[in-house]
Amino acid sequence: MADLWEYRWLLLQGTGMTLLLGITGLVLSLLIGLAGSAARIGGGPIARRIAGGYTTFVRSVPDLCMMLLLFFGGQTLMNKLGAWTGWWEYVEVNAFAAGVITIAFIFGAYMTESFRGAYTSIPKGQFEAAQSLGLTRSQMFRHVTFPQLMGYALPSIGVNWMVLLKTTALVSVLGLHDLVFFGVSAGRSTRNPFAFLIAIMVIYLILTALSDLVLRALERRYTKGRMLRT
Amino acid sequence: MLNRRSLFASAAALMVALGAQAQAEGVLRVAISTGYPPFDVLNADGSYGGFDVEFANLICERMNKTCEFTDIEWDGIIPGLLANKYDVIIASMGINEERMKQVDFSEPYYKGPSALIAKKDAGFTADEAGTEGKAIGVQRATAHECYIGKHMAKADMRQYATSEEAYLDLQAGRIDAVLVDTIPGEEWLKSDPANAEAFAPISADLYDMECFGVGQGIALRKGEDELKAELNAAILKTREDGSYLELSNRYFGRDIYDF
Repeated sequence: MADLWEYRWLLLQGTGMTLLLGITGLVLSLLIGLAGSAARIGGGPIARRIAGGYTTFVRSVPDLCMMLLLFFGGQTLMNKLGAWTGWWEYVEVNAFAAGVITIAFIFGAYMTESFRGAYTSIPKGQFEAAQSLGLTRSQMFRHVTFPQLMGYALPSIGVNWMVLLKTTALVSVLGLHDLVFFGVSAGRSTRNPFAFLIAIMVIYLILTALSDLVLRALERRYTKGRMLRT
Repeated sequence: MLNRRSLFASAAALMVALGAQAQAEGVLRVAISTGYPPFDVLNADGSYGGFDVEFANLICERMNKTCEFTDIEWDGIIPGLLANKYDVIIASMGINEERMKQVDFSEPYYKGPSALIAKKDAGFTADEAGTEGKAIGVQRATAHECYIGKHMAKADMRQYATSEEAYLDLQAGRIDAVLVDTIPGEEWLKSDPANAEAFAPISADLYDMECFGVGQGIALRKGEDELKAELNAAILKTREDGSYLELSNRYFGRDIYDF
């Protein structure tokens, strides 16, 4: 326990990095998800095929593999390109950016599927009613589609978020120092690994419990107007 | 509009700053991998310690540079060097043929044979016949994998991310022995009286040029001969001015330069 207390600031710092990665990744993946589902539902045949290919491809490749390829492979490619064209000598692929982009790229695929599933759950009558009221496309999206979409998508977004938060632990191979990196390294350095692993677990539990509260509040908000169907 | 424009400008400035920072003059970018006591240690205040880190600082001083450390997982340490994330690896990396296909090395800065550590009453020998069917833990992507494949081919090799995990499974009884570097292995035995009581090296010091090579060296990218010469000169200086001996004595009570 003494070791844990000594390393508390590092663990806190790692938790901050985990949250920063998680939240940035979540926001970006939601944006990708909205765009992807729009392409899958309302896009032309080519857009549909690209979006479909993206979700199928990403969901079938291990996260770690993708992350290593993007970070190390991307850097090597950049270096080679620079040497070949003579335009730059060395441009750093920032570890944080690489981590966030990979996470967003991966979870954007899951979010696409979440939104697509949610969209098909919205009763058709809603769109017909909106059209007959003379709402423009953007009004319809803001006042009719989006609120109900969120209502139906939230449970699945919640599941994705929890998996995403844990996926952030993979970034330690990129040299980013998140909660798991600091915890594991401190555990090895002090030869007291179990205390640190348990601490990591408890911190993740707290984060998960907190996000559960937020999710429930959001769900209440977005399902307020949903009709009870018998 | 103004806001968006200034956002772009600051993003561009940030990217330039990041690119520029990586190539600062007078800085040697050093990769370590903490969690390998007593060589690479993460301190509670977030600073780095251990023999490798202090040795790296001696080297940087003698090159009139400052060390800029990157703490990275062992599995990613060579890819990071090849991708130019840092200039050198000073993390107790053994010089061997397999690694020399990818990277270049300085002269060895310490030499450590390997040892097979097992329960005191384990009753088997560290050769091919003795280890048949025995579960032996090694840190993956190390020279020990090579040694097992060559000299203990009938053993059941178990690979771990670091040797610390291998020790945990040795304590838990899941494996019969661990093959580790002798010096950190001894440190592990000393770190807890319970370890010293239950376990001991059951082999003499093991050597193999092809696997363990000639010792632990500083890894750098191929073709950087100028840097390599500077590193070798700096290592010699630490020997000549006695700073190496002081460091080695402080950590191990002996000179580990030439085991």
